[in-house]
Amino acid sequence: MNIINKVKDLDRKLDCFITVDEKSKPLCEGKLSGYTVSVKDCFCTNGLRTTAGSKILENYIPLFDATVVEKVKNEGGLIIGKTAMDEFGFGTFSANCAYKIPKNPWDLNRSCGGSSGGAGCISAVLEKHIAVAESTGGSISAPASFTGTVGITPTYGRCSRWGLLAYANSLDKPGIIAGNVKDAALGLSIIAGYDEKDSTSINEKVPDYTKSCRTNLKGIKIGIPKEYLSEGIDEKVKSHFYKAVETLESLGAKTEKVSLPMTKYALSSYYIIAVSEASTNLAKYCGIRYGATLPLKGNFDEFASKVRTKYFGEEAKRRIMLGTFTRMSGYRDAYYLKAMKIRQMIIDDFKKAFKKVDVLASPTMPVIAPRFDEISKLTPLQNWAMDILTVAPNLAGIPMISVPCGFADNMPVGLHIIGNHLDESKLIHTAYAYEQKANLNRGAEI
Amino acid sequence: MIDEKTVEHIAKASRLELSSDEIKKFSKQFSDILKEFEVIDEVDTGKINPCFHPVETKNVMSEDRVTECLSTKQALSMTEHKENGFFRGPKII
Repeated sequence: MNIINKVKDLDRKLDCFITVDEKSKPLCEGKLSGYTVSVKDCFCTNGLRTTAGSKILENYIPLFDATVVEKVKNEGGLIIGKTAMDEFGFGTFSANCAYKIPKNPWDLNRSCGGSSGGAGCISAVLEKHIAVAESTGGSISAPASFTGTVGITPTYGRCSRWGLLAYANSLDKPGIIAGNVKDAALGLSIIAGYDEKDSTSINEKVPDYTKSCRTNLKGIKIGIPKEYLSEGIDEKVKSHFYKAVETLESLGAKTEKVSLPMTKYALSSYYIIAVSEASTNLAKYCGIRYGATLPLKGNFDEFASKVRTKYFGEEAKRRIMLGTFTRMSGYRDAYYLKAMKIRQMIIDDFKKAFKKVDVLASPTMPVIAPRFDEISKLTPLQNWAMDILTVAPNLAGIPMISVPCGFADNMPVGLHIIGNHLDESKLIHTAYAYEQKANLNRGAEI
Repeated sequence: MIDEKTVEHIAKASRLELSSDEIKKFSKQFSDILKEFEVIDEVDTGKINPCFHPVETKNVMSEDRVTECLSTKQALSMTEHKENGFFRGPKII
């Protein structure tokens, strides 16, 4: 079976793609020759439909490639399609999808995590595959944890956001999901780097991250934040995490408890900032220049309201309205500005911890992948609370990697390793050493 | 607490139309969410500056040079609302 037919067959079973590119061919030979690459549907792909998981962009065919897509193409990557996601990245379970909801290959009744659910899903079942994904508040780590794959979210600005359909500009980070640490490191080495088209991208040389795939952890100090092992974390998840800590110690790492006292305020601050930025970003979708539209009728406000009401999904409407509220005159200082100040204090917390330790470790998600019938019963607040372990590092713009650390109820559990700004190499080193010793990465059978 | 009148107001500002059932539902949800957000009031942020970007960027300048951009035809290719080389929109006032 050729690869595209195989991908289509997997997609029929798992609903992991919004668009499969049947005509794709590698542009050249390069470091990604022999790999298939999928791209989360929030990155613009020249000539290939890009929806950000929303009906408001159902027919949008970009005229250019996002910088990270261009980089993948220039290294000979075969782009097989655009992966399923929550609408504009608004979700933790890929259940807020305007198209198909990706199913977890380990149990089809369970979520792949979100918002890069399709990316996690395909990486769990396809060998020699690199998924270009994106995280705002945990959208790479959550699917990696739930699908038993490796997800790396780099430092904010390490990868260009040019050509990314924005959710929240100060939080969005392109990254990679793959079946193992080495492939994730290879993917990151390719998509990282300064881009003059993104003024927030970091102008620092990109190392070859695959060279950090070493197995001895002697000299590495790992901090375990006590706030990340609080009551809300499933006991089975915790027990796998503690076993992982023992494995890390057996490899020569030293571990010690640390405290991140601002953790309690991360979830609220994250959501205030994320919805505030999302509400301004989504203001541009008004049915005139591109995207879904209706016949021109009424004045601008009436026309745009009709288009937006018809094509935005419920979670998008919820976040747009809440973000409009938190930025409104009279409330802005109490919510948006206050959250921005707390964000600085959260960064200071991490910086203090990184004076003592090289990296931090915690479970990635508080639970294993939930079933869809469980998700449908959650209130928006309960839904958002699932991000409790991932929002703080995402707010701080520091890098993180999720690597499989065991199975609870036959579902994968993720180990989260978090590093200081631009310390991706240390994360990859630690995760690779752990992965080689634990030997828990195995693709899902489907 | 976000009452139904406030939900109607923010929906209008967001250019979204809501049914009366939706207004009720969002009013309840937003009130619950804002109650949760209140936790941040505990924090004394006195002299802390707001953090707009997690990684500091300073005066990023780009060279002033002519580069390629989309042609009019390309820019208009994604919409049905066009006329004589321009986008066509609804009346503004």
